[in-house]
Amino acid sequence: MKKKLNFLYSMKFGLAVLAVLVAVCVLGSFIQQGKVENYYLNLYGNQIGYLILGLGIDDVFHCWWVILLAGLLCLNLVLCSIVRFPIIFKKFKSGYTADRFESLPVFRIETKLTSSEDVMKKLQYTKSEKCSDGWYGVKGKWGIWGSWLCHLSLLMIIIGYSAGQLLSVDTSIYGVPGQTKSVEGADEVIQITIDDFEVLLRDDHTVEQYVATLTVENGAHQVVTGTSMVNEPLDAFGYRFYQNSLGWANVLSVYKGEELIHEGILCVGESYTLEEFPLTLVLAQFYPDFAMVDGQPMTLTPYLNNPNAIFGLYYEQNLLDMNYVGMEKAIQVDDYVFVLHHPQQYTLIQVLYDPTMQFVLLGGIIMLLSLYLSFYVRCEECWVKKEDGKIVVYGYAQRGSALYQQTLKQKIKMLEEKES
Amino acid sequence: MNLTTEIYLFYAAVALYCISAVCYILFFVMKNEKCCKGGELTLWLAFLIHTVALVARTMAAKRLPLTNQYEFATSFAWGIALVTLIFKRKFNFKALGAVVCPVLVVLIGYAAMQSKEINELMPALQSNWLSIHVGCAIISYGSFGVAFGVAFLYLIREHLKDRSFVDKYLPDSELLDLIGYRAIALGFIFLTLVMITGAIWAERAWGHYWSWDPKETWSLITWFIYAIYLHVRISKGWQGKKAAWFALIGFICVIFTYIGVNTLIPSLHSYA
Ligand code: HEM
Repeated sequence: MKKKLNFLYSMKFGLAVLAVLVAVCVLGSFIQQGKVENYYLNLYGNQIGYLILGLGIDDVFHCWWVILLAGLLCLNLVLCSIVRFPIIFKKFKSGYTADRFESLPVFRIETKLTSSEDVMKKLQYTKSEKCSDGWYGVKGKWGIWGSWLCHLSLLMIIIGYSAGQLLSVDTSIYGVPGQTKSVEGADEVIQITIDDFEVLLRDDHTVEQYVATLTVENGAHQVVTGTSMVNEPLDAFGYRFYQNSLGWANVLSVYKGEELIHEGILCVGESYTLEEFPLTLVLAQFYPDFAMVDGQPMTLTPYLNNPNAIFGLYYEQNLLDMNYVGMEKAIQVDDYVFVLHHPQQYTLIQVLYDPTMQFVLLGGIIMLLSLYLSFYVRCEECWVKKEDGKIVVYGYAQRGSALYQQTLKQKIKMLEEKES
Repeated sequence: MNLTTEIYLFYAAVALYCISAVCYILFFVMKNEKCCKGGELTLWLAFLIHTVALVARTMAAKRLPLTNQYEFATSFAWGIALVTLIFKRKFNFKALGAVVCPVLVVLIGYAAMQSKEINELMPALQSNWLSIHVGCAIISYGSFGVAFGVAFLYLIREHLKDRSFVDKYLPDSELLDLIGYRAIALGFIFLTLVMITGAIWAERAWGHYWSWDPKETWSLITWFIYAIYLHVRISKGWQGKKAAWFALIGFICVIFTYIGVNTLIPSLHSYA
């Protein structure tokens, strides 16, 4: 039993799991994720296709056995960290003592210096102690926490990310200025009014920025107004509102004879079906500066120079007509007339509530700090002794001892030059 | 300074890097110390001209040159040159350029083949986080490039026949291992920064800090490989050669993350 537990927190096991996770990532990057079943069957053939689907490789980063692997890595890290904590703590508190000299493979540097106490200070060992035959100092003790903290921060990131997947609300709304939409899936009632939406263009017609002005209202009727731009989302009531994408919309007016029976916004991809008759108009595509080039519809510029829409008309499920039409032009079916007009751009706002994001970020910051401790804060021990009237410096570092020796030599050389 | 000046300077740097690589190769073949000195000098000169070229492009584009294939490739090569010069000085390792320069020439050759036009940035790319993200990637990839060269040298050191040459100009295996480790440590910290700043940028620009996009996934793979290297190096029986192999595999992952993902796998990052 104890052996099994030992294996669970061993580095060997952790690294083996890590290696399998690397393989999973390679698979997940080469095999497109989240496609429909037929995509895999057509591309890879039935045998491999069903294998991919059966093993969940079509959504490999969320499938049960990969989550289990990530869980095993966490378990391994937790156990390893629990086991190592008291060891590191004890070492940090009372593990560095002058008598280690006898048991360590220390290096030796002979010097021309005179006072041993002074040497300690000059070598920047601020806390040194007198030992039987000289002085002992240690610095960079915090470095020994580096790897432990790094594992802790990795755990924080994995746990925070996983909790975020479970707890976050990730949805979107779209609309044109003047429309108010509610956020679906949120615990409280969140209403978003799109006050304005602007696409800022440069002289060469490329987009400089998308700017949506939003008013957000929560269940307690508190209101926040602000802009949401790409790279500058709006924060309100713990939610974040991202300017995500955009598209074209028209106002659709429907007449029966002379009488206006419906007027509303229709975005590209949306349809409108009459209440009294199974007639549907689909706004399939919109071109602000329409032209037919080689038989293909396209837009020449992003400006509304010659706006045209491509529509589809359906009676029940049957396509009656598909064509392009200018603004304010009538599409007539018997008594009914559809008119598209007032082209404008709609904005798609992504709404995100992720309570664990700050925790994950904290994990990232701790990780950076811990890596700095691991790699750049070397725990260095130094003994200064007087042997036959000469000052001799001994040193030891568990890692990078050769480099430590080199820098110590240089420092001593500088001190000697100063003294002489 | 304008774009044409930048292009001339860039090609001058390419030529000098090539000359430097040739000098270093001759140094190994002819065992002539003058060739090593020539390699060092041209490497310094190439680096200086390359730096001026990058400054010229920054001035012409009015932003850091970090956003398309050409800009990143040339900056990546600059990063390798910078880390090489730092490590060469720090470890007094004159022949380091010999193993790194050929890698550098391949990269800058790749940059030379890319379109050098300056494009206006789409809104998602107009972010300081992106500049920090790519800036860190240059240092990180540069360090891994140096570690690759050192690991390669570590693996071939024993097979080099002329022992007096090896003993005179190459550090012993232990120091080579240590230099490789220091380069990977630096690269690893910066790769972690790359991933954190990239996540912050992605969150602000796309609404998700991690979306398993192939480029993200490959940077994670690279990070895992180097994490395995760090552990392998401290495990008994795995130090030395086995760890050096991980350093080689790690850099292959770096190159794949940078070039392979863009060309072989569709990705959100296809502009970088
Ligand atoms: C991606 C995952 C991991 C990362 C990023 C990571 C990071 C690190 C770092 C940076 C170090 C210090 C290395 C050095 O100073 O050269 C370290 C050491 C260590 N790691 Fe990990 N680690 C990971 C996974 C694991 C796993 C799964 C285990 C299994 C138990 C583990 C056990 C250890 C041990 C025992 C040390 C040696 C500590 C010492 O002697 O100072 N690590 N790790």
